[in-house]
Amino acid sequence: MTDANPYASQPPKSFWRTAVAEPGLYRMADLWQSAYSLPANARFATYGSCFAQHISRALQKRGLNWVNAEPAPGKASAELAARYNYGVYSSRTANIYTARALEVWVKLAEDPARCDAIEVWQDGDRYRDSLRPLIEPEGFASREEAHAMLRATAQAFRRSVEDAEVFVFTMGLTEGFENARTGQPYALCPGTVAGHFDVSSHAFCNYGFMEILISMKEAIAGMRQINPRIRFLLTVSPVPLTATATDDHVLVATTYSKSVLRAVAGELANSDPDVDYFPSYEIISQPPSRGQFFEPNMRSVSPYGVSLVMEHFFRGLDLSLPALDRQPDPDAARRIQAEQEIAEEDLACEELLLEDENAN
Amino acid sequence: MPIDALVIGDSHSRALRSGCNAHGLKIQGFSASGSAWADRVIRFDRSRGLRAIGNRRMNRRFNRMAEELGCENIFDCGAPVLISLFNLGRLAGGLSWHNHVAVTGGGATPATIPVSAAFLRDYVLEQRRFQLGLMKRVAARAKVCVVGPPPLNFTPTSRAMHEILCDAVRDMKIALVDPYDFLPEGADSLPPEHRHEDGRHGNDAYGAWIVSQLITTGILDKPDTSDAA
Repeated sequence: MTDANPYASQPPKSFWRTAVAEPGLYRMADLWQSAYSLPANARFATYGSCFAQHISRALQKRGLNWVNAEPAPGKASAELAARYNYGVYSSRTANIYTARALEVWVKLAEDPARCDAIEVWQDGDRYRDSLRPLIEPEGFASREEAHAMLRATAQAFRRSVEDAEVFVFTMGLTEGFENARTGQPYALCPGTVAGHFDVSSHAFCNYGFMEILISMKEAIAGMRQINPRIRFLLTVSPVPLTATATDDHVLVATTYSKSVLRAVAGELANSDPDVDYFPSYEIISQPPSRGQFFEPNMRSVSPYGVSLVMEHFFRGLDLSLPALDRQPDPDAARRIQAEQEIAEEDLACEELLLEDENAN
Repeated sequence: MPIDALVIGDSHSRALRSGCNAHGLKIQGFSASGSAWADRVIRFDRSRGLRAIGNRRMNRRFNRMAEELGCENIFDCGAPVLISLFNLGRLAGGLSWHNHVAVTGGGATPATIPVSAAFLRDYVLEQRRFQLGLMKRVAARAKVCVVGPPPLNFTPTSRAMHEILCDAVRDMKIALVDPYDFLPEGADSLPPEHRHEDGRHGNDAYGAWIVSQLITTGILDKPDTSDAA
């Protein structure tokens, strides 16, 4: 008697011919099935590198519950909100490219007073915080304002973790810069779009597998302190590096970076049942797409690519658990109250003018 | 009929008209609730001065005013125009939907969402673009003085919004009288004797007081020295 080899019992999705070559790009199935079941009204917090904003938008467009813990004022135009980076992620962190930066954001959420230690760069007579130097088009009016606004975002980040059932994080880069003395990571290399580069204080880091794994585990543990029931969904951004600070060719550096991030995401998903991995990276950058989802600069991802990614996302998302019984949205109550106050004020104004008209 | 001032604006302009009358100034005026301006029911009109969209009663009023002033466009009557059009209550109301406050001024708490001074400025200017545009258009035809609302129930955020609007008026090189500037030192709100019983407006005594400041600062001529008198 001969035992059947392990491949004999594998489903069609396990074979390249039946799973990829024959169905082709648009008919691939079972690419992802969510690792856990979620309530029908699950709330998602989204953060990460620039590709993550597509997930924020798609969740909202689909009518799912996207946590917006730091929204723009209700009457601000969409254009104004976008200019000040409201509504891009669940709080105004701007892009979080590295696991190290995510770890820092979680530490700030745990204790917003730590924000005062975050470097603020002077830019003419304006100030930019080094974790999100482009969050406001002109920067902040003072160092104090930059820190106060950072504290507000750290509090909002915390609220988003408290309120979410799922924390979606898109891993973007292994390369980053840190302060050589304090170890504080920067969102961007000082001196590129803000700040000034100082070779003695700014250290280049190409974080390795273990460093990223440790940072991710720290961040996840910190978020579980805030919300013990939160689950995680990791993705790797398919967007190649704009530039590398290593000696490698940028194409080689990109492959290294994405490979390490993909390996860390896989390790976390394989070792923790509440951490899942969604293959947006594979959909965009692997052979079936033949690179067609990249724009002519061969870097930006086209809307068609994003749309296909999100199609697989929603197909595999398991929202089969009964909806959670939630407290009424305090924002909705506040909005009704604010509108009532405006209506009362209008009425008072009209009564005053009517009284005046009748008197004359 | 020559007049000493034309007074237009939201419900706070009622006190201005009352104050002018108390000082014996001859005026014409038009007041409508802030929502009529914010909702753009009332607009600047190149030929008549003001026009109300879909409101015949208001338009008849504007026509009658033009007839009484003896000019086709009410802003060509030669008199200074006093405008009250900040409508701060509605502005602050919109900001409170999600509990937003100005990051400066001490109003921020963990339950609020602070906005930066730069965002607040852009937000206020966006929300009041129409009203500021109207002031600018009128100022191109007549001598204009914008009168800020009476300082009542200010929060740090509404105070910051008030300052932004004052600066915007000054930036347009339009004369501005901010009643806040005339409060006694240390006071940040109107005294009880200047408050209307509704708690939201200045009363007739306030009107007389603020118009006396307009006369003192030379914005309005004293009735006995007015050319029109």
